[in-house]
Amino acid sequence: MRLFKYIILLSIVTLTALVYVHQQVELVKLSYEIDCKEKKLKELLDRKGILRYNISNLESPSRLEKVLLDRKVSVSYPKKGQVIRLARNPSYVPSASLRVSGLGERAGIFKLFDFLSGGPEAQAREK
Amino acid sequence: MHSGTFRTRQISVFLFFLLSLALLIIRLFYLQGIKHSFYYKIANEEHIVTVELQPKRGTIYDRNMRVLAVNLNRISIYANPREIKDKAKAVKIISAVLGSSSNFINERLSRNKGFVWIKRKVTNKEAAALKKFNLAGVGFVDESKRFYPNAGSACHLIGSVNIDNKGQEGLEALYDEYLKGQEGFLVATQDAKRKLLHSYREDFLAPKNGYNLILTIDEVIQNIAERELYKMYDKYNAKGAAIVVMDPKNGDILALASFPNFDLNNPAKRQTDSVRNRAINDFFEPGSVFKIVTASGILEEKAVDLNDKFDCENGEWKIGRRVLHDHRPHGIMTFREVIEMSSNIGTVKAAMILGPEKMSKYMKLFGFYERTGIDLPGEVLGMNRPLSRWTPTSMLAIPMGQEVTATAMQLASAISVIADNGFLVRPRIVKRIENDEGEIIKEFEPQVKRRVISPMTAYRMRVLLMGVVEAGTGKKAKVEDFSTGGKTGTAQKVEPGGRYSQDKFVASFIGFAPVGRPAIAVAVCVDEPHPVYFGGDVSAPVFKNVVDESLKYLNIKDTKPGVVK
Repeated sequence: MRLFKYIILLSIVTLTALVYVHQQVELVKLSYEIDCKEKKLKELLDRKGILRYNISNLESPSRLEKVLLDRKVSVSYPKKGQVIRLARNPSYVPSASLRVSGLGERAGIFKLFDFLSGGPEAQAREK
Repeated sequence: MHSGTFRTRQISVFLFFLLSLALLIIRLFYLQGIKHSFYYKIANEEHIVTVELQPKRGTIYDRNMRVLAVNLNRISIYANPREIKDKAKAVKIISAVLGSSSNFINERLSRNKGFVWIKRKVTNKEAAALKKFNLAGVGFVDESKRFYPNAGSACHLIGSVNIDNKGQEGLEALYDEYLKGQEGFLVATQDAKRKLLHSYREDFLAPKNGYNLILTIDEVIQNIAERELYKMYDKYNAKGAAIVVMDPKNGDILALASFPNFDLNNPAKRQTDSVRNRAINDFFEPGSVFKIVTASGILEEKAVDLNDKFDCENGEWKIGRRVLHDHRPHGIMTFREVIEMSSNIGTVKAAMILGPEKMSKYMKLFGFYERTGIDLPGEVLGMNRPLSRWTPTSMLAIPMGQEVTATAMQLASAISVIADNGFLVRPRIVKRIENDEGEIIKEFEPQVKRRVISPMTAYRMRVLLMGVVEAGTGKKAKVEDFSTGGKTGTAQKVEPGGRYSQDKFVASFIGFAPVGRPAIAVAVCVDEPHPVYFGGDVSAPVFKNVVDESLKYLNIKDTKPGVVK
């Protein structure tokens, strides 16, 4: 009976030790996995950064102009009446709201000049 | 007897093991107890490492969130010379792969140090090629490098950073505290191969990335301004040139360019002269463009009416010891024609009616005694004397833009007063500062400094300056699809001896469009153009092209002025 108890105790201790070791091994494995994934994530983020930079570079107005000039493509701005602007998407909500430029005493006296110049003095203020 | 011997042996073995165990326990006690802190420290130094985590430097965007400056990952190569056994072989390989001089590499590897930089921020290709050789004592570390997709565009205002990503010039320096971010750290256990074990993380502080700057600059207008200015700078072999395109309503700088310029991606190749931002670092006598200040004061104070007539003395007027000249002889002209034809004699005669006190008052109101306050480093204050130090001849010079100094930015600010119905607005280049999630950290609101002239005077000045373009010296600034107003200026430069040069001029044009409700104000200054040097010939065409393309791009409709009685 005593021997049986001894064996049970020994088994529990051994099992606990094995579980502990297994846990530590899993932790190390997990660490390697995290390290690997982090490296991959960093690589992908770097790649994304480079691609976005390349897009900015390719869309740069000076580069586009240079390409057009090199290819001898002659372009010019359209004349008045040659441009038809399409309406914006109705779901589009502009981020900046227009406000009358109420910087002090401007609003009252400006009504005359708004009338003369064809519209109120307005400017965007970012919310 | 036999059993006695066996027992003795048994006891001996037992004692031997007991003694050994006791020795081991003593040793264990010595190591774990007495020398615990010593060995614990050594073990920690081997296994627990602190890694600095670098933040990402903030990105600089234009007003439409187009990237102007961004950081990308680059690899830097270092070495521990003490760990390199065959140095000659290492020098040969490294210099061949990186294209560096073998003397330089040899010098680095000969140092008696544990760490030396071999080459910083190399391309991924170069790093990959060197990694293949698996050289002992040579290591690789990730760093980031600043890149500018538009190369030389807006170089003077964006500025540059040093090899450690610290802002050195321009906005990069001025807003370095916001852009640089905060370093983080990671304390973790590493294995025998020095691989970090993230599960055994002891302490961690995430790096705080730098904030992003959103500028008022429009990349497209910036390109238009640079292209058109460069054409003239190159065509007339000018010493320098600057252009400022501004939204007069809120002081937003839409474009700011200066030549000579440099490639931000190759700062090492730049020349000293190209670093200067001529729009804010150079002041000069503005010449006839300054007549907008004189005329505004005259009209505001009702000293003269637009239809009052002046004898312009056929281009030469002797007053006291001084002789005033017009670039072309004129007879009797109305004040409107005096400004349109840019007569020095007529302007001075009208300014004399205004008087020096009021002339000085309007110089001050237009901001010529102060910096514009633009958020760029190094803006200079001109050398304008206060009224108390004016000489008896000052009123013969100042009204036509001599004996006064101005920067291109001050001129843009001054013409914006007329375009914005009489208000002086502080120019601004940074709209807001945001974090990576788009939350606004700081916002820069438009700032009105003061009222300079009444809306009525501003309106009359706009109509008057439209006449300069329609019928006066600024005909080359006329845009087919938009009404424009402006003033030409051709100022002689002052030689070191104090005399006016006969062949060195600053050709300027300042103006706005459309006249009815101006959307942009532009100042163009070209330093020492040759052989043509008139503001109306050199700078006015730049204004014309910039205004035409910019207004079309901004989808601005032309508005002509109404009738004012």
